[in-house]
Amino acid sequence: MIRKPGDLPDLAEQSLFAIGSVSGTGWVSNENPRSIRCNPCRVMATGIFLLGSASSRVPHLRSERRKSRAGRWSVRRRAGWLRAVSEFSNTPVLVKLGLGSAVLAVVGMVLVIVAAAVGPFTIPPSLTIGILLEHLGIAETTASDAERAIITTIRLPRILLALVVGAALGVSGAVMQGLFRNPMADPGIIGVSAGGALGAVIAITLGLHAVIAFALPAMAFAGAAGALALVYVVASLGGRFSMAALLLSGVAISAFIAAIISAIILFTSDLQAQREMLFWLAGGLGASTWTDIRIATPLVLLGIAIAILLSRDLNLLMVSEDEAKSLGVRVVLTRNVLLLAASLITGAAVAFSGAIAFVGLIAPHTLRLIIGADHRALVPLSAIGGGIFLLAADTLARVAVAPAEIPVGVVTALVGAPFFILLLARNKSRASML
Amino acid sequence: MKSVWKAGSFAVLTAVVIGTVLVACSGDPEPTAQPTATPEPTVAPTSTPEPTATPVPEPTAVPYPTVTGIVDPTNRGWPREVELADEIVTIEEPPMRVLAYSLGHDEILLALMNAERFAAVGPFTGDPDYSNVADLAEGLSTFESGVENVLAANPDLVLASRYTDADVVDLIKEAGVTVARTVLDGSASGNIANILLIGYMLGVEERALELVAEIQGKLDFVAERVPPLGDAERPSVIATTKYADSIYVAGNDTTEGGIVEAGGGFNAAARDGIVSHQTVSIESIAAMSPDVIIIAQPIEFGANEYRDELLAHPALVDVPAIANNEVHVVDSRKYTTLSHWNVRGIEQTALLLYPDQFSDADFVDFEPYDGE
Repeated sequence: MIRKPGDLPDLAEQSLFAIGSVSGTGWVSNENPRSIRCNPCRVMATGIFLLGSASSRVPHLRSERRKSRAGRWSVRRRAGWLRAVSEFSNTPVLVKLGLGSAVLAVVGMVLVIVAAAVGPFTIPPSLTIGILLEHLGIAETTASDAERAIITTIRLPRILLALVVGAALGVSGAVMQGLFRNPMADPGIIGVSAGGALGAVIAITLGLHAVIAFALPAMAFAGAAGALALVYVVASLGGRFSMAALLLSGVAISAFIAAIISAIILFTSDLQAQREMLFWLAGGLGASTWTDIRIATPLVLLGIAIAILLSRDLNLLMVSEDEAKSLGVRVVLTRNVLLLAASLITGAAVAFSGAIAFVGLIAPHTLRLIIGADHRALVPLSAIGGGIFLLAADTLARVAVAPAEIPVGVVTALVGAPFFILLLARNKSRASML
Repeated sequence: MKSVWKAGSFAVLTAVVIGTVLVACSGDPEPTAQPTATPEPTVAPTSTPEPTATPVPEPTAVPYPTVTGIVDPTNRGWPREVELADEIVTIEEPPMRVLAYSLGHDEILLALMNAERFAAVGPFTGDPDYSNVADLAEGLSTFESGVENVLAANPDLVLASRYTDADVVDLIKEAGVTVARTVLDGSASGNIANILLIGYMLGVEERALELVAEIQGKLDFVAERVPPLGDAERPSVIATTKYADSIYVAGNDTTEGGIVEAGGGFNAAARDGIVSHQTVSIESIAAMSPDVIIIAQPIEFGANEYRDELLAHPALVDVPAIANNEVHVVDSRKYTTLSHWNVRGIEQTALLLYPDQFSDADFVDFEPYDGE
C-alpha cells in the first residue's frame, strides 16, 4: 500500500509528521519497510518548516492560500526555498554531514575568534589571534601578562565550555525528540535536568562543595542519573513499559523534584547556601575553568559518540518500535542506551553550567529544517550547532551590556521563545498535534 | 539654671538641624553625594501645611521640620496623620507595640525608642552577620514572615517596607492594625527624612532630632576633611561581592556606591555604566582598573577567600588596587543597610581612602537609645 503523508490520520504518522520525519516530496511504503533503510533520506527528511509546505496539499489550506495574490507569491517564494531545502535534505547523508560539518566548522571558527576578541577589557583582534596562536605554541606575541591571562584563563575556557555544554544539550535534545517522537522533548522532559539541579542543591545544603573539589558537579551528575533511573522505574511499574509512560512519569518526577528543591531552598536557614542555590539554578558559564573542561569534555564526547553510533537505529525507532524490531533493532537495549547517553551528557552539562533552556530545542529543530530528520546527520550536526548557538548566546550575554553580564539562559530564552512562536505560527495545522 | 542651659542647647541644636534640612531641600547638591536610588525627596519643600480636621493641641516650644509624609508638623498631639503612598494614615495614640518589616526599619526604631515598645523584631535584626544592632535586639521576640505571624505579635503599628506585598498590607489593615509604608532611602545620606517621619509617628520627635543631629555631625565631619578633588583625581573604587560563582559590583543608585562617593571615592563601576548591582566577570574588574577594591561581604560568606582570589588572579596583575594591595574586606553591615548606620560605612571608606586626613579621627558607633 502506498500512501501520501497528508492522507494518514493515524496518531503514529501524525507524530512522525509533527517531528518532520516524513519527506515533503516522498512516499512512505508500509509494504516494504526495508525501503526505509535503503533510502532513509527520503523517509526521514525534512522538518517542521518543510512540513508546512507539505500541508499546502491539504484542500482547505490550498483554497485559503488562493485567496490572494500575495498569498500565492508567498507560497511560490516559500516553495522555492523549500524546494532547495528539500533537495538538500534528500542528498546522501554523508554529503549532508560533510557539507554541514564544513559550514558549521567555519561558522564556529569565526565565532570562536570573535568571542575571544570581544569583552569588557579591550584587546585588539590581531593581538587576540596572536595570543591564541601563542597558546597553541605556534607564535609569540608582545602581549602583557594580564592580556594573556584574560584570553587564556577567562575567555578561552568559557568559550570551550560553551561549545561543550551546547553540544551536549543539542545532541540530547535531538535524541530525546527522536525517542519520544515529540518536537517539544528536551533533556528536561524526563527529569534529568531537575535531577541534576537537586544533586547540586543537596551538595550546597550539606556544604560538600566547600570541602570536596568537584562535589557539586559530581552530585549534579549523580542527581541526573538518579532521576533518570527513578523515572524509568516508575514508567516500568506493572511490567508494561512505553515511551508514553516514560514521558508522563518524567513530567511527574520533574514536578516532584522541583517541589523538593523549592522546599530545600525555603527551609535552608543558611542564607549563604540559599543564595548559592539560587545562583546555581539560574545557570551560567561565568566561572568556567580549564578543569571544568577537562572533566566535562570526555563525558560529553562519550555520550555523543554513543548517540551517533545508534543514530541509524534511532531513525527506525522513530518510525515505530515494531518496525524497528522487524528490521533487527534491539529496541529495548537501544532505547535504554540512548536514554542513558542523553542523560550522561545532560548531567555533565548541567553539572558545570546549571540549567540552560532552549538549546536542546533550537539547535536540532533549526538543523532539521535544513538537513532533514535523518539522525545520522542530525545528531553530529546538532552537537556542532548546539555549541555554536550557546557560544553565540554567551558572547552576546557577555558584551550586550558590558561590563555587566546577562545570564546566558536569558539570552537563549529570548531567542528560543520567539523561535517557537514562529514555528507554531507557520505550522498552525500541526499545532493541535504538539 | 541647668534646665535653662539644657533648653537653650536643645533650641540651638534644633535650629541647626532644621537649617540643614531646609538647605538640603533647596536643591543644592552635596558635593560628594551619589544620585539617590529613590526618587522620593528627603524633605518636602517648605509650605504652609494644610489644616487638618483633627484636634490640634498647643504646639510645643520646639517646632518640628516639615518632612514629606507629615500632614501637619505643628500637630504634636494625638491623633496625628501621615500621608504615605498617597494614603492618609491616622495614628490615634502613641504606638506601644511596633513591628517593622525590614532590618533598616528595626535599626532606626532601636535608635528611637526603648525595647519595650517592640511587638517583635524581624528575623535578621538579632543576627550579627547582618544587623548593626544585634546586641540591642537581644531578648526581643522575633516574628517570621506571614500575616498570621505578624498578627500573632499583636502590633498596634506595622511599618511596611518598599518590598512588602500590597496584599499583605491590606490583610493586616483588615485585621484592624495601623500600617504605614515608609520607603527607606538607599542613597547613604543617613535617611534623615525617614527618621524624622518615623520619630513623628512614634511620638519621639525630640529623640529623632537628636539622632538626626548626630548623623549630620558625622556626615559634615567627613565632608569637611575629604579633599575637594575632581572625578579624575579621586581614587577610583569598586564595591564588590562574590556569592557562589557570581561576582557582583555596585554601580549607580546603590547604597555602596553612595557610600564610596560620600567617602571621597569615585565609583568606577558607575563610571563604566553599571546601574544597581550587576553581575560582572573578573575581566570586567580588570577593565574598570580601580585604585581600591572594597569587598562588602560577610567574612562568614567567603569575603577573605574572594579577596585572596582577586589578589592572586593573573588577569588583574596590572590593576592598581591589586598591585598596591588595596583590596579591603569591610564591615558589610554598614555598607548594605538602608538605615542611618550606612553613615558609619562612609566613615570607614573615608578612613581607607584618606588615612592621613582622618588619622586623628575617633569614629564611634551611634549612641544607643537610653531614654525612658
